[in-house]
Amino acid sequence: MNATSAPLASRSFLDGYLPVPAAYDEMVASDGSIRDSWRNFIGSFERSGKTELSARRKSVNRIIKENGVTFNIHGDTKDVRRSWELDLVPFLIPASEWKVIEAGLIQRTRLLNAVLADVYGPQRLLQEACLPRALINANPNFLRPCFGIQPPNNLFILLHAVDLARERRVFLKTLEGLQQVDVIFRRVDDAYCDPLELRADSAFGVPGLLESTRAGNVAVANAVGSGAVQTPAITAFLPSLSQRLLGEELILPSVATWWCGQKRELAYVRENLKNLVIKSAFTWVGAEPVFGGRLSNKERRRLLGEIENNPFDYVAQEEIALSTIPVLEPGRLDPRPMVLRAIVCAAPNGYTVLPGGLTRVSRAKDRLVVSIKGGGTSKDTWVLADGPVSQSSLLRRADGIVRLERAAAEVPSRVAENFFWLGRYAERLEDTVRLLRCLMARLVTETGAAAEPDLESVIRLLAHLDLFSPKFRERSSISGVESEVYQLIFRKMRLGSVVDIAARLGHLVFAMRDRLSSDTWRILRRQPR
Amino acid sequence: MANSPPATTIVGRDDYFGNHADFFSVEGAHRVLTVSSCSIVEVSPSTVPSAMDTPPWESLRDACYFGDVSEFLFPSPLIPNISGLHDYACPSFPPDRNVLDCVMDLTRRIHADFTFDPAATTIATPLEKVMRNRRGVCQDFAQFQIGCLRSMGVAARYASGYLETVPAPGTPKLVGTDASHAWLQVFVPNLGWIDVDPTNNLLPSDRHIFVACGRDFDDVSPIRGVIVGAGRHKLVVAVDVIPLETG
Repeated sequence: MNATSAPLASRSFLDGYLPVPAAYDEMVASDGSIRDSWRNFIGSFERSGKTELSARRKSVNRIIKENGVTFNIHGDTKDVRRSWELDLVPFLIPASEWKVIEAGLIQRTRLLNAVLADVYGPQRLLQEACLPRALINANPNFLRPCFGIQPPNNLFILLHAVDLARERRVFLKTLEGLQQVDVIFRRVDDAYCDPLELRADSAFGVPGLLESTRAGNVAVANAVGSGAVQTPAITAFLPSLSQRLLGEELILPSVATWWCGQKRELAYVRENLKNLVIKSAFTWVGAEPVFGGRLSNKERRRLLGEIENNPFDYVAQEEIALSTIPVLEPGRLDPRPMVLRAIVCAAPNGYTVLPGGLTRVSRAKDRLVVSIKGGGTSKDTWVLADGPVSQSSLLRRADGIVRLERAAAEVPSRVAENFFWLGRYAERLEDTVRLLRCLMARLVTETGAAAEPDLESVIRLLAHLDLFSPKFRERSSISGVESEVYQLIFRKMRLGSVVDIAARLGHLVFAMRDRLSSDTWRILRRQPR
Repeated sequence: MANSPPATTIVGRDDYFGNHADFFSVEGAHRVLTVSSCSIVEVSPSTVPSAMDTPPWESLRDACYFGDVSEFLFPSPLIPNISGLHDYACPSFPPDRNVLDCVMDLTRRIHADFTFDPAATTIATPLEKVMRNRRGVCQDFAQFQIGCLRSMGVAARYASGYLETVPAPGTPKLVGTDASHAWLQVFVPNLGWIDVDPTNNLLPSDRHIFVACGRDFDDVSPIRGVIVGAGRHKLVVAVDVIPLETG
């Protein structure tokens, strides 16, 4: 039985849905039928109809905007925040399939953790040549100062900023003094975590953090240095490492990978460059993969030359077709390449996988690289259950009585400072705007500005408050006032201009989001930008 | 090691490269921080191998790449693999020449081509600029030569230490005139690490006092730290190397 034998009431959304040949489509099987796991969903989708779906899509976009779900385009120095995009069609994963993925991800995390514990510890894998020594030594993400640091329970992989470290401990400055920090969940790249021992030019890190972890006084998730295994080069060795460290076959196979830092592998890459995807072995920021088959002969020769010069910096992978999934375009569904990012966390009894994940889809049908940065969209991820599941929620029940407390120890000094400036900027913004209003009302009267008796005083007031240039302090004519007003409102580079203060306010609001009520947040977000 | 004002915490350990490192923190307010380190060092003239006994340079490539010393073969933070290094090194590495002759020829050329000029560089001057301007200090020359050697497949590491200076005949030795110094060490299979000093165009013997080694200066900076607070600061370094009679 398949869906084509039992046609749905309307097939309009599926009309013209053409999966990419040779790629696995998540919804449609190779014979054109709809997969079992998708049938229910597609049925209700069709029943909703176009009008309803378009209304829901609008409501999704509105909620995203209201909640301020944005992302910062990585590597962009300007503060560009783009709204998150979410497609209405989720990614459906049947329970049976999820079980395999889950087991495979847990195994992989255990494996990578074991590799990290070895390379930052006894280095047996290198002595036994299970992992080429050169792969570690050529790896800039292998942080030498982290060697020998053993994280609690030897957990390197568990899944912001703290103020200072002293006496080999990390402290957070709060309104009630220094509070010792036991665990840091970091969002700072490895090399930037400690300007004392790692990159000295880092303004994000905590000086002395490594010494504090070395002393066992603070745990960092993930351990500093764990970026050493975040490299496609290691993929080539995962099957054998799994055998050696876990005594298990890999549950989820890896993409076939050749690290060019080995002679035989390099020779293979030289011969087969046309069919391979070339990636940087150790840097993952800003390095786009190169598809050998899409290069001209000349470009291919040049690439090969670069690889031969620094073979250890490159990996080659077989070109794989990503599976495709339907994306809702106005009135119809269209297949797009997708990837799923799942999250594995350390729990008391071993690793556990959060059901679901972040599904990202490519912008175009033939785009082989999927990234939000590249303009792709995202999807909800639904892990289907075989039967009913019990409901559980971590949200606090709303029926209890909320007791107001004054606990200064929980307020980091930085937050208090941010609150102070939030107040200052809001006040300053209001003052400036009110004064400008006074002035402008007098500039544009019917009788003409000259007739306004107190115009001069307002101009002088603005000058004495340093909002206007000091030359207006003594001047009585209104020449140049118009341009001054314009600059005070719109000039970004002018300290204290309306847009300048609004931008500062916006920054603070973003940084303090978790400390503001959702109403305050929404109002403050509406500031002019 | 001694500090003034005294440190709240001092912990010693050996780092990844086997160098001894002390971690300390000073938590009170202070205007001056003095770190003094005093060691009694025994030196002996090094036995420089005969160049004839060293293998042809081409044979080192695989031995370095697949061996433990690959740590000192790959690009490091301050010695990236920039294109001019290989070109500069090539004339010293004709086919089949034994590696020590190649290294000494390269050392001689760097000494001749580069001008010692403390005003030309700081510790943050990139290697590329040193190569372009051909000026710098011991640190720059050592790192440049290391880069050249690595580009030829020879493992080399950065050596940090002190140099005893000898006063002109008849003049007394002044206090604080000796210097922190940097040179490099080249790996030759079966012989180990051989010291090379491009700043003085020689193979070091008993006037070079070795302190630490690493991939480049960044691994073995004699001191690094973070000051929390406002205001300007100034760094003064003085070194004395005083010969003692062997007793």
